[in-house]
Formats: sequence, structure tokens, C-alpha cells
Amino acid sequence: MTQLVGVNEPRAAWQELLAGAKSLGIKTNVWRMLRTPPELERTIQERAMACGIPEAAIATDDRGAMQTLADREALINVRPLRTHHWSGIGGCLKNYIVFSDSPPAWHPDGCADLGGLMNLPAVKGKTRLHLLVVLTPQFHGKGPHYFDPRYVWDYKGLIASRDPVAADATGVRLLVAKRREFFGEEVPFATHTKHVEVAETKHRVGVADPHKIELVKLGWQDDVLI
Amino acid sequence: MPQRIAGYAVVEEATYTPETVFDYLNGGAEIYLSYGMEAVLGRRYAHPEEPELLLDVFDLGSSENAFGMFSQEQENPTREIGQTSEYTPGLLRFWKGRFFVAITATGLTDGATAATLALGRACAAAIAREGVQPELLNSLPAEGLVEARVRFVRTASALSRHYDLAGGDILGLGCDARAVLAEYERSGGRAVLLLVECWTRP
Repeated sequence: MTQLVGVNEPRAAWQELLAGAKSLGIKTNVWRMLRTPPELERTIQERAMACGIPEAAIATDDRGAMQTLADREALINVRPLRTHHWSGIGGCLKNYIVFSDSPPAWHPDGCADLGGLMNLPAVKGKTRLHLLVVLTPQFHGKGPHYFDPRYVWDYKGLIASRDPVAADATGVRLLVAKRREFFGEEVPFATHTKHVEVAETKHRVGVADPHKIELVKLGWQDDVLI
Repeated sequence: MPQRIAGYAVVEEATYTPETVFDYLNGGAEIYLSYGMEAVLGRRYAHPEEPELLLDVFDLGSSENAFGMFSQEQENPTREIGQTSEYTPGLLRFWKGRFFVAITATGLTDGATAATLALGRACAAAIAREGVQPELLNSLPAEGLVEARVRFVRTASALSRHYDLAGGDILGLGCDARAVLAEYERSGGRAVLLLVECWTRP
């Protein structure tokens, strides 16, 4: 957090990140197969409380987010990275689909317009941090739940960004690298991850081009892949 | 379908229709709808010491649809459970009659594997009637056919998961077609055959 915000102390980093916010919504993801770890949710909540946001003003939710988080002054978006049937990957952009009145309306063309979710009135300009959880990312899927334990690995990482597109674009790179390593060849996603590129080129909600993303790698570098 | 098996017991159960299945299958419902899904029974089995199992029984209305759905992800099928089945660690898939069945283990342990296979066999036994594969498969030339790479599809979107014909539905398959995509290996070369059933209007 200190690296991301550019300050020396963790508490100062959180304070700057949440500056001015009197309430916080933590948009999590509770998909049964690979949910946001409750420990991580609690840690975020504790950091926010240490910044002076009262516990009663902090809500954590996924499917009820439209009812419980839309009125918050600040949001933190936190979810695991995984491959996905119809959007190629499920990342930070897709995590806001529940803020839409009609989630299926975002499905056409490989969910190409998911970037537009960041411009919905309920969330626009509110998100202070996007945390793409890559502790145990899922790099391939199969079956009705598109989950197969063979395709989840212990990467033990977190991708933190103020830019959801940059976070997801980095996640795509990671999954591509893992798939290449695992399968020994380029195996395309079930659906091309065009929504990440379109989020930059059409919706202008972030940067997808890896050449324009400053990737700062901290901590353990073994098997970092990217 | 058994309520208890190998130390596991049902802890949650629901039936979903084409209208509600989106609430259940996060992002994966469309392919089942493209095979005429009429209903799916979703059950969660829990064990005090083992990873959970998810049982999904899809009623696809016909055996050709059940075979087609199975063929979508087949890699190395056998005839051990149901009419054709495939087990990869953590996932059992099979079809029998008009039903396609999948059992997903949320973790990899010996106990979960044994229970997955036992549950699969019990479910297959509970489906009384067998069905027939799509007739169109009989039109495939046998020489060099890679049987594990045969996909029976009803829609362009189901076809595009395996073979992209310049995007969109340029063959006009619509949502009720019968087509089979098959791979061949002959003389050291590989080829793909797409066979589409067409009808002349009376």
C-alpha cells in the first residue's frame, strides 16, 4: 500500500487512500468455488476503521451490493482472478456487474462492454482501490461451474491498483503465462478477453496496454511468471 | 438420486429453470440453454472431513442434446458411467437418456474422488432409460475419425467454442440446428469436418 500510494507508513497510505470518506463499501466476491478470502475482507475493514471510518459505516457485500454499497462515499473492489466462460476472465471490471439493473445486458459480444460498469452512477469516481486477488487464481475451467481444482494454483499474490483495467490486464498476462506453462502451448481463453481492451479504447476507464502499465513487483519473486 | 453416499449428505438442493439458471451458473448457463435445457437440479453434498461435492443433473429434453452437451468438453471419454463418461480429477461428466450429469469436487482428496465416482454410478443407475446418439453422427466417415473430438452442436455459439467460422452465424444455424464438428487424422495430417443437417422447405 505504501508503494501504491507513495508514502512511507502503511497507516498513512490507507489514510490517503480513504481521505475524506465517511463510509466505505467493500465489494467482494462470494462465488463458492473461489471467493474473496474473509480474512482479506476483515483486514481491509480493520484498516479502514484505523483510518477513522466507523465499523457501522463499513459494509461488505457482493450480490446485494446495489442495495448495500451504492450509497457509500468510497468503494474498495476486491475479488479473485479466474477464467470465465463468457468474458474470458473474471476480474475487477466484471466484479461491478451487480451494480447494473440488468447484468445479462452486459453479456453480448463476450461481455465486451464491461468497462462501462465503472461509469454507472452508483460507482463512478468512488473506487479508491482495486485488489485483484491472485492468492490461488484459476487459469482454466471446465464443467457447469467452470471450475476444476486442477486449474487453480498457489500463486500467493495480490495485484493492487487504482486502475481496474490495469489490474485486469495484468491478470490476463498472468493467466496467459500460466496457461502456456501448464499446457505447453498457447491455449486461447474460452472467450477472448476483449472487454479489458475495450475498457481502455471505448470506455476510457483505465489502461490496458501492458507497455503503459508500471508493474511494481514486491516480495517473493519465485514463479512470478510476469 | 441418493441423499447420502460415502459419508456425504445433501445440505442444499434447488431446481432451476431456463429463467432462473443464470442465478445458479455464474456465466455458464448459455451453453446449457443452447442444448435445450428444461431444468437443472443442483445439489450440494457435504462431508465433515472432505471437500464438498456439487451434483448437477440437467434435463436437456432429448438424448441428442444430452450427448451434444457431453461432447462439448469431451477429451478422453469412456463407457464406465452412464452411456459415455469422463472423469478428470475433480470433475465427473456423463450422459444417459435425456440427462447430462456433472459432479464437481471442490478439492482433490481420495475420499472426494471415491465419493464422486460412487455418486455418479448411483445417479446413472437412477436414470432408467438410455437414449440414442444423434443420427447425424452416422453420416461421419469412419476412417481417421478422432471420436474424442466429435462435437454435436445446435447453435452457432456452441460451434464457435471449437471452430470460429469468421464470427457470427454465417451458416444460418439459428438456435435449433443439428450439426457435427469432427476431427480426422489421416496420413499424418489433421482435418476438420463440419456437417450441417439442412432441410428443404415443403
